[in-house]
Amino acid sequence: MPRPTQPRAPAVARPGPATACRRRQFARGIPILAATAGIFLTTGCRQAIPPGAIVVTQTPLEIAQSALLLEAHDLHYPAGSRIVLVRPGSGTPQLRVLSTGFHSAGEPVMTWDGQQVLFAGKETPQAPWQIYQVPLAGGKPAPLTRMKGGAVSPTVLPDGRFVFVSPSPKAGLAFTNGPAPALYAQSFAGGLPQQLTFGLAGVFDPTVLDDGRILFVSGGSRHAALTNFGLFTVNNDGTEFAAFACQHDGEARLHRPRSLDNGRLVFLSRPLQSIDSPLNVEQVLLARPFSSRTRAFTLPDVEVRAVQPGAGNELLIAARQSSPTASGPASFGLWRLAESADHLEAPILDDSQWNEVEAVAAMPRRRPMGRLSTMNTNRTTGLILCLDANFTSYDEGSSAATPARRVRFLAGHDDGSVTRLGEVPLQKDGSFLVEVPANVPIGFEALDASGQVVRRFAPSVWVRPGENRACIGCHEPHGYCPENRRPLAVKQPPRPLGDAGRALALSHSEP
Amino acid sequence: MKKRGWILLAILLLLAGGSGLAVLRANTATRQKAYIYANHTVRSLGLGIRQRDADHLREMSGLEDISNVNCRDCHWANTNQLAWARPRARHPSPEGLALSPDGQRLFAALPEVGQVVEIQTASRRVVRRAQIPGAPTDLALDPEGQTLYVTCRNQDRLVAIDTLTLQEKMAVDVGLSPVGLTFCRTPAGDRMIVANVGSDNVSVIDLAAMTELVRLPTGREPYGVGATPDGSRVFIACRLAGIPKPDVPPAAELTIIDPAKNRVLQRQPLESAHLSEAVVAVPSRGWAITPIVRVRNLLPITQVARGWVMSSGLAISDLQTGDVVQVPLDEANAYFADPAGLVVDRDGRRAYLASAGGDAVTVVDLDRLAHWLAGANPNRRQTAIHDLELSSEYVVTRIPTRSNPRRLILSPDGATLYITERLVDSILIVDTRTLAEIGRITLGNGGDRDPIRRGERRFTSASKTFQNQFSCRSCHPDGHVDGLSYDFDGDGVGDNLLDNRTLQGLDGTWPFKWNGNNPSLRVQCGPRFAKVLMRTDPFTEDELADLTAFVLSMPPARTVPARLVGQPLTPAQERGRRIFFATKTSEGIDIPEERQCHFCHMPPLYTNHQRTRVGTQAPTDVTDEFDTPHLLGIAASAPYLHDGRAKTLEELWTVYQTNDLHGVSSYMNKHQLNDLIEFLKTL
Repeated sequence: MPRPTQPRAPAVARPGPATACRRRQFARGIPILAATAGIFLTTGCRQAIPPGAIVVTQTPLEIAQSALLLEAHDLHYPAGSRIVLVRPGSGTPQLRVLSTGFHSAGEPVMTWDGQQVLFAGKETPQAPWQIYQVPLAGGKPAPLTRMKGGAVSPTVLPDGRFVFVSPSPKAGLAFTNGPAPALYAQSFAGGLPQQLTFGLAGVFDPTVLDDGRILFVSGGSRHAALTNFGLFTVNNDGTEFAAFACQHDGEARLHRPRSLDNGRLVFLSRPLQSIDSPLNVEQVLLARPFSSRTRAFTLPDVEVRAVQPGAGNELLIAARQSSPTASGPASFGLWRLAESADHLEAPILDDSQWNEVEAVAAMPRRRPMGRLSTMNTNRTTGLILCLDANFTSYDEGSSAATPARRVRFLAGHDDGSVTRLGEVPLQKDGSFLVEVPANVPIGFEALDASGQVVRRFAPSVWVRPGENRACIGCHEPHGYCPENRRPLAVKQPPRPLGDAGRALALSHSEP
Repeated sequence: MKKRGWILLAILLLLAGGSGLAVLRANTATRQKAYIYANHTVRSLGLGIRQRDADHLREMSGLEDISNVNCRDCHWANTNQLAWARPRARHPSPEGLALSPDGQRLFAALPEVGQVVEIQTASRRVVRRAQIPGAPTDLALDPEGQTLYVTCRNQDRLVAIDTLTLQEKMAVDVGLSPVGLTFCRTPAGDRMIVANVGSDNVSVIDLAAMTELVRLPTGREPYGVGATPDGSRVFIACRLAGIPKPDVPPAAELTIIDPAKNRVLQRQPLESAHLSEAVVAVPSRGWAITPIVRVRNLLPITQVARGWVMSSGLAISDLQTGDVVQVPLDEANAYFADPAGLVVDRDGRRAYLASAGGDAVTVVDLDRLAHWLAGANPNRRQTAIHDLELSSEYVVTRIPTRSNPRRLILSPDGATLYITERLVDSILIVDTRTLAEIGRITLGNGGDRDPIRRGERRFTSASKTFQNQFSCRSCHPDGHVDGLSYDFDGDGVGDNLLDNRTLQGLDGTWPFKWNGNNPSLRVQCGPRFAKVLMRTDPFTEDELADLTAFVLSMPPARTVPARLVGQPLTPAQERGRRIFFATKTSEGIDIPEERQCHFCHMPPLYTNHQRTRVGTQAPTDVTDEFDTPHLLGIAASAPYLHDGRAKTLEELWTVYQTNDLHGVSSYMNKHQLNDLIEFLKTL
C-alpha cells in the first residue's frame, strides 16, 4: 500500500532568484520614474529636436511705434519680437515660441552642445535688455544677466562662460553718447561679469572664432580717430586686443561677423551716413583678412538682413525681395543658400505676418579652442614692449615717417579727455618697454628730437593686469611677424609709471 | 630596573627607526651622506668588504682610498628599470620611401621594426619584407632600380639591397646616425651622399667599391640631401642652427658640395632658420628649395599670435647668385608646423611639402611663386618671410593627412603622390591632378592602444597650440634640443634667458626646468605649459599621461659610434673618468666634496636632483641656483649652462668658470681638460 503523500505546502513565500532580481530592478526604477515624472511636471512635455531645426527671430510686420526708442535693439527687435523653434516638416513647418511672455526678444545663439539657446530679451517695455537662457527642448527662459545698462548680443565661450555687450547700444549713431558698449564675460553658473574690453569706441556683435578668440565690431567714438569701424579680436580674458580686418577700409558700419567652416568670415556692412540703405554681404579670407575683402555673394533684387553659418558650407540667410509687392514691402523670410548659389530657392520659412530676421541652426557645433588666462589679478599694471617705434607702414618721406626719439603715453577717458602718463626715450634700436596702468585706454605720441608729435595713436588699446603686450612698430603693417632681434629695451627693467599712471592703475584695478 | 631597561631599549629602537625613516625621506644628497657615513662606520668597525668589490670600487672610482666610496654612489638608480630602457611596443612607423623607375614597386623603410617593405602600387599591398636591423631610415634607388640603398640610423651603416632578391648585398660604415641620402651619377663614378645627423658631416660613398671616400663637414645636424640631376652639386639641409653668439640670430646651414671632387663648395647660412629636413634642387628654375622653420627666439615670448615664436617657410636659394629669399607658408590665422619632406615635380612647376605637425601637405605653385619673386623689389624679398598674408599668392591648397606626415615621393609620371603617415602606420595616396585622396596603404594597426604611440602623436602634433603654430617637437626634434635659448615672459620680459634642455633620458632625473621647480613631467607639461606657451586649453589628464609616457620612453642620445658602444674607454677617456671622480687635484690637494664633479653629477644618471650655485648668474637672472642637469648624451646637447652661453663643453671651464664653483678645474692643464671632455662625451 503506498504511503499517503504529505500535503504540499502552499506555493508562496520565498521568491526565487529571478523574482528577486525583477523586484530589485523595479525598486531601482522607482526613482528614475519619479525623476522623469518630476522633469515632465516641471518642464512640460519636451520633444526631441529633429535634424534641420532652426531657431529664428520673428519681428512683427506691423510695428507699434514706441515713444522712446532709445536703444538700438528696440529698433531692431520691436515689441512682439520673439524667438521660435522651427521644425522642418513635409508641409508647413512647426513653430514653438521659446520666448513666451517676453515683450521682445532677439539675437539667439546656441550653446556648443546644441541644447540651450541664449538670447537678448525684454520682459517688459520698461525693462532693460538682458541675456536669457532657455533649453531648446522646452522650458521657461531664465535670466543670466542683471546689467544696469542692459546686456545684448550674447555669444558662448568654450569654457562654460558666455560673452555679451553692455550697456545696450543706443539707437542710431547715439552710441557716441554715454559710456561705450563693452564686452563682458560671465559664467553660466553665475558670479560677477568680467569686463573684457576697455576702449573708448563701442563694441558690437561678438562671435567666437575656432581658435578661441572673440571677434567683434568696434568703432564709433567721440575721438575723431576712432570713428571708423573695423573687426577686432580679444582673448577670453581681454588680453591681446588686436585688429583683425577692415580697420582702414573707410566709413562703413559693420554688423554680425560670422566665421564659416571654409576659411571665410562673412559680415554685413552699410555706409555710415546712410543707415537706411540695404546691407551688403561681404567677406574676408581668414588666410589674409586685411587684403581679401570682397562681396560674399550677390543676389539680384534681394535685401539681406542676416547671414549665419548653417550645416556644412551652407548659409542661413534672412532676406526679402527688395522690390515691393502689391501689398507693400515683402516680409523677410529664411533661406538656405549653398556656397555657389546665385539665387534663392524656396524659403525655409516666410510667414507673411512676420519678418524672420535671423536664424541659427539648432545643432551642436565644433567647440572652439579654449585658453588659460595669462592675467595676474594681483597686479594693477601691465607691460608694453615695442620692438621699434620707428618701424611704420607710413610712406617714406611723409612727415609721419619722421624718426622719433621719445614716446609719450596717453590715457583716454569716457568724457573724451586725455591724461598724459609720461614719456620714455627710445632705445637706439627704437624699442621701449614701459609699465602702464591696466584696464585703461592707452594712446601713444611719437615725438621727434624737437618734441613735435610725428605720429599719434589715439587711446584705444589696453593691457590687462599682468599682461605683457608687444608690438612691432608704430602703425605697423598688418599680418606681419617680427624680425628675430633682441630689443635693447628688454635689457633694462621696464620704465615705471608716473604719478598719473599709478593713480589710474589703482582706480582701474580688478574688483 | 628590568623595566627601565626595556623602556630604554624601546626608546633606542624608536630613535633608530625614526632616523632610518628620516634618511629614507631625506633628499638625495642627505641620503648619500648617510650611506657614506654608515659605510665608513661599518668599515671602521672592521667589517670590511670583499676584495672583489674593493677592486671594482677602486677601478671605477679611480681612488686608492675607498673608505668614502659606496656602491650607491653609482648605483642609486637601476638604469635597466628606467622607462627608456624597458622594452616597448614597436610599430611600422614608415619613414623613407623609394619608387622603382616604372612606378610599380614602392619601397618603405620601417625603422622601428627593422624592416624594408616592398609594396605593389597597383594592389597597394606589401608583397615582400626584408629584415634590416639598425633602424632603416631613408631609402634611395640607383637609376636602374637594381639596388636599394638604406641608411641604418642605429648602426651607422649604409646597406645596399638587391631589389630582385631583397637581400643585403653590401654595407659600409658611415658617420654617426645616418639619415638622408641621395644618389649622384658623377664623372668620377656613382656616388651616394649620406647625411650623418649625429656627427655633423656627410659621407661620400663610392658605390662601385662600396667604400667611404671622405666625410665632409656640414652645419649642425645634416638631415636632408638633394642633388642636381647632372650630379654636379649636392645640397645638404641642416636641422639645427649653428650656436650663435648672444643676441645674434641663429642660422642653419645649407651645405653645398661637389660629389665628384669630394669638396665643400659653399656653406650658405639661412638666417633665423632651422629644422630643415629636406632640400630639392630645381634646375629648371635655378633654385634649391629648403623647407625651414623661421624661429624668433631672440624675442621675449610675450605673445604667440602672429608668429612671434616661429613660423614655417621655404628658403629659395638662387643657384647662380647664391642669394636666398625666404617666403612664408603659413597664413595670418593658421599655421602648418614642422615642415618635413619636400618633393618637386619633374617640370619644376609644383612643390609638395609635408607639414609633420600640421597633418597636411601644402601644395605650392612654383610658377606663381616665381612670378611673385620676379616682381618683388629687394626689400620686399628680404621681408617676405614676415608677411603672413603672402602665402595665398602661391599656395594652391592644403591636403589633410593623418598623423605626422613626414616623407613623400612622386610617381615617375608625376600623377601620384605618396605620403607617409608615420604615427598611424600608413601611406596616403593622392592624385596630383585633382589633389584629392585616392587611397591609403596600411602597414600596421596604428598602435592606438599603445600609450607611448599616442603620446608621440601628441608630442608631434601642433593641434594643441594656438592656431597650430608649433608642436613639442618644434623645439625638441627627436625629443632632443634645438640648440637655442628662449625668453619666456612669465617671469619678466627680458629676464631669465633659458637654454632649451633635452627631453631624452629624462626618467629618474627629476626635478625639471632650470629652476628645478617642477617635480614631475605632468607638472612640467600641464596647465603651466598651456598658459606660458601653448596659449590654449591644457592637455587633458589622459593626453598628459600619454605624453609623459612617450617623453620618458626616449633614451639618451647616442654620442659614440655604434661599433664602439660597450667597448672599453680609450686611455684619454679613462684619464678623464678619473678626473671626473677625483677627490684630490693632481698636486694632491683635497677637492672640497661639493666641488667634485660626481658630487652633483652622480652616476648613473649624473645628477643629484638638487639646485646648485655654479657662479653663472647673469644680470637678468633672478636666481643663482640652477637645477643640476643630467649628463647623459651631453656631447650632443650644446650649448651649455642655463642660458646657453657656453658653446662647447670646454667653454664651461675655460670661459665661464668662476672661482672653481663649477667643479675645481683650475689645476687642470689643457690635456687634462681634454681628457675630462673626452670622458663626458661617452656618457
